[in-house]
Amino acid sequence: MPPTTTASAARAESLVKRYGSGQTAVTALDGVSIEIPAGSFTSVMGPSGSGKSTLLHCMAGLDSTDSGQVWIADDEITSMGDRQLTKLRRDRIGFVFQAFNLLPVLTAARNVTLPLDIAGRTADRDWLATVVETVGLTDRMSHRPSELSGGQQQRVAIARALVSRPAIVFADEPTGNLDSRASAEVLDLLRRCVSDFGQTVVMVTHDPLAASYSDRVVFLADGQIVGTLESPSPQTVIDRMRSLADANRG
Amino acid sequence: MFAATFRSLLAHRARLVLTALAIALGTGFMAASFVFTATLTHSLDALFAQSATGTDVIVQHATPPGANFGAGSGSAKPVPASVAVTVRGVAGVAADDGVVSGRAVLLGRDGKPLPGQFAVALSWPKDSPFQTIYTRRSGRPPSGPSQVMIDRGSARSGHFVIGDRIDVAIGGQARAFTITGITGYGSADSIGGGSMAIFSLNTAQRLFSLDGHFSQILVKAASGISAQQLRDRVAGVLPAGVQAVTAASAAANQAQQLNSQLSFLTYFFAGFAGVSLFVGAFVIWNTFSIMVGQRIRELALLRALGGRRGQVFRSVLGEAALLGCAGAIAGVLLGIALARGLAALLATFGAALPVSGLVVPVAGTVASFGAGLVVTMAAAVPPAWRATGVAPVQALRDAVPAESSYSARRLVAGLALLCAGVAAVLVGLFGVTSASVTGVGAAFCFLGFTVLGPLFARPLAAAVGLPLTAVAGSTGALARGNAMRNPKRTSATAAALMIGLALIVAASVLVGSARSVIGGQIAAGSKTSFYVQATNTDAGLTPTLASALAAVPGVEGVAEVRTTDATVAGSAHQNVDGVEAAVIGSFASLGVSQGSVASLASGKLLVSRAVAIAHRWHVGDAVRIGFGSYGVSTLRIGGIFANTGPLSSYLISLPAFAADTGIRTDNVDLVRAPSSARRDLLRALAGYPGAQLLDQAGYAKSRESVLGTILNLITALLVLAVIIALLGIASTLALSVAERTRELGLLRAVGMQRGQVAAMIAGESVIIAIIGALTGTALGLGLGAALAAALTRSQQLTVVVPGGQVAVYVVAAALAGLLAALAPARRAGRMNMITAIASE
Repeated sequence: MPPTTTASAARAESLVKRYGSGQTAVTALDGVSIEIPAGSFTSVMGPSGSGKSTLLHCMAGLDSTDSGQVWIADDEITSMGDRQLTKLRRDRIGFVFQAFNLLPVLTAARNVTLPLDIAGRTADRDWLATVVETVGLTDRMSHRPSELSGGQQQRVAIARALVSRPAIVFADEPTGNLDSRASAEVLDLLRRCVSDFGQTVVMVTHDPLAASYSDRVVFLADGQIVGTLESPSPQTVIDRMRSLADANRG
Repeated sequence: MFAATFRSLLAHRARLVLTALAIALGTGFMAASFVFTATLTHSLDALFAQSATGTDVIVQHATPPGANFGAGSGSAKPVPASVAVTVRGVAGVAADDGVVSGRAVLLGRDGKPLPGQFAVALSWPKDSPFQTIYTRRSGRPPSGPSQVMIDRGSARSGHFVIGDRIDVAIGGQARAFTITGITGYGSADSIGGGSMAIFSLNTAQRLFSLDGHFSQILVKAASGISAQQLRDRVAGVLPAGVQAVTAASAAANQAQQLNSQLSFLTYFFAGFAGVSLFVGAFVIWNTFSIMVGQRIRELALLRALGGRRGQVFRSVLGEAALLGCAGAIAGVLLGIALARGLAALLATFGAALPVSGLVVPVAGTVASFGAGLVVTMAAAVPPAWRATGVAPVQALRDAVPAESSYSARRLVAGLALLCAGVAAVLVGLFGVTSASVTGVGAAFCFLGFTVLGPLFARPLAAAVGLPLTAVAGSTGALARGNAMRNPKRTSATAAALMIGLALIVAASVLVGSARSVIGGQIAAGSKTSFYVQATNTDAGLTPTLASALAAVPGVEGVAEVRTTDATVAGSAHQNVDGVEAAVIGSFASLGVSQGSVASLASGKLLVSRAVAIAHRWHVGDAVRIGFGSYGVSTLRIGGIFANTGPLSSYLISLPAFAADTGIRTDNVDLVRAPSSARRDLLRALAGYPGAQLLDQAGYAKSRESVLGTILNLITALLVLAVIIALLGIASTLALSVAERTRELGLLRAVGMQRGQVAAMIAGESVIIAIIGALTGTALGLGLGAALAAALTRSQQLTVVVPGGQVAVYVVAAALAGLLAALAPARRAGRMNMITAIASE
């Protein structure tokens, strides 16, 4: 199928991913096709082992696939080599992880500009200022990660994800290690990235409240997409999760 | 508990292999030195035992106690032929034979000496019992004045067959002989790796100016009489000074004497093995510190589940014991293999020894194993102790490696250690002059630097890493940050390299200074323009050459200098020179401060100011000098001179020298001539392949070259310590890479290429290596300067820093750091991102 020219930030087609081999083989993704429209905020939900993290890793070029294709914007990435893929992650993709994953030896400011530093590029001053202001850490930029709170660290991580104006930001359980207040700050920030900057965000979460910040929720079970929910609220997400669990049981 | 220890070892095996190797190398070196020495002893015993074949009793001049000659000095004092007649009359003597020995160098067809570790000349014994040692003979024994029998080894290497003409250098002068026979020596092709030239008795006596004399008289007992009985009978008829010994005890005695001369090798190697183990201890200590740090959660869990402090301590120490055992066993095996390499190494540096077979001494092997095990466990005690301090609650907390902060206690302890070390070094060098006090002082200096290390590691890493950030951008900045983040780890890793490099730099400063002193002295104290030197010191130069040189047009004067190794005032292996009293003053500006040069002529001794100060001698004092079998002479000091120039510290006149040593060949002929005489001098040397013509600079160089060889040997041995230190760097990096899995994964995720990750690890390694190199150089310069000052203060206080050499060492260390990073950097680059960033 030729790539469509609609404004999709990322797209997956019949993704299959297996771990192990023979009797013990586990199929983490079993023919997943998904399209992420540009400028949208998508949540991926599902029970443990449903393949939601694997989907994120494969779409972000962190993990290889067994079959199927992935596009970031118009670039097909499943055929790329490590060098090319690394460059793609550096220039086109932003990451936010559950464990913040900041480098302890760098200041917050240097952590934010890390992808640019690695590429040997200088940051666009205005954009950098905007990003830092948006995450609300202008006065904490000279601190080291160990001197910041969890929420502050995650906001630094978000700034880092935004700094290279990527085509898409992948967030893997970004609130998993945070208390409710810090979680709300981080989610609000991600929401504003989408609304104010037109940034595309895909977030893996298991928290219905977190999912309610997004435009659309994609539900995964046993490596397959089992449903979507537009304009979710915490209650509609919980209801859908319950009905999916019941269907599974029945 | 023990099973858990074992499993934990297996889990870290890749990194532990490096640590075990660090132990194995030190242990191996130690074992190698024991095996090598035992093998050498055994080889010498076998060699000398073989030489006694066919002989029961040997009659020769006795060597009084305290008069031992050094290796390779003059031959034994000859015994008059009349003694043989007396011995023949003793009842029970079945056969007797006077033999002569000397030095003769076999020359190949190209005029160069045939390969051989030494060159002996012997006379052919007339009675068959004494010929049995000469085995697998072909041809005829030598009989005429121009006939020679040579050993099979030389015949093979020089492609000589019976009937060929061969040149033999005697006293440096080539003489033509015809090969009438070729022989083996016992079970070997030659005598312990040396070459043999065998002449008829008359010829040998004539060649070595021993007419009417023998070097030894060999005696065979009639059947029914034991060697001991015959010895007692023969001893009864001998004149004073001549002794009879059984061939067996003579052989044992000779072997024992040579062995005791070589015993310094054992100490020499043991010293380097000690350095290697010391450096290895640092590597082990550091590795265990890091591993305890990484296992805080595990240890805390153990404590939370009810494990006692003692159990935690034993668990860590048990790991060290297992590791130490494995490393030490590997080391002993390595050492046995290495012993052969050691002989080859010495041969490379010009000290060939007759090594055959391989003897593995049980005691030495066990001692090496024990040393490896004890060092490992001792080095693991501090980390094990720290492990007992882990609180159970830490199992529940996130393990954040504590940043070490400035500590006044550390500063005080480090400075105290350093001051104690410096004091001990100075006392050892200038006070009690004890090598062990100096060594302990140096060890304290190292420990002091190591304790202070963490205080300076951060700024040092920042400074060293600065150029890297400029060159390599963010990769360099990250490498620098990583090197700075854990100063304790960085400094401990660098410390091992510091020790190795400090010793190398100290040795090069010491040798550089000593060289400069020798060169300066020869230049300052000499009025000689040319030196004709014997290429084989043992064979020497015939005095005929001196007369030939004197006859060369343009030559203003020639002075013969003879040299022997003697025991002066109780200290063995001192050079004593025989000089021409009347003319030596016009060849060297001795700068006599007390007494006179002329006193030489009346049998007095001249000593250099350096030894006079050391022994507190004054003119008129009596000095006892032992000249081997020529006995002990008591000489009065007739003068004290300032500049040794090209000469030794002890001078006597040529006649006195001949009487005291029997040596009639020169070591060097000093020639005063304009430089235009060079070509004519060379022409005069045409028939003397054993002589070389050197100018001032060339002679200084040849005298210094021994020092260069020693420096090379020391450096080669210390390189082992550096290799151990590099293993330490590799091990630390491997542990750090494992510890930073998450960070490395993140870097890869946000777009760092594999090569950049590898470069970052390599950068960190280079920074650590340079820190080690710089601190080591600083320490080495201090230590070397102190050593050089102590060594040269009695002559002319000289401290020379070979800047180029030191720079090469630092650059080499940086490159070695790069090498050490290879494997960890590769691993870091290949890290699986998903496992690296996956949540716990």
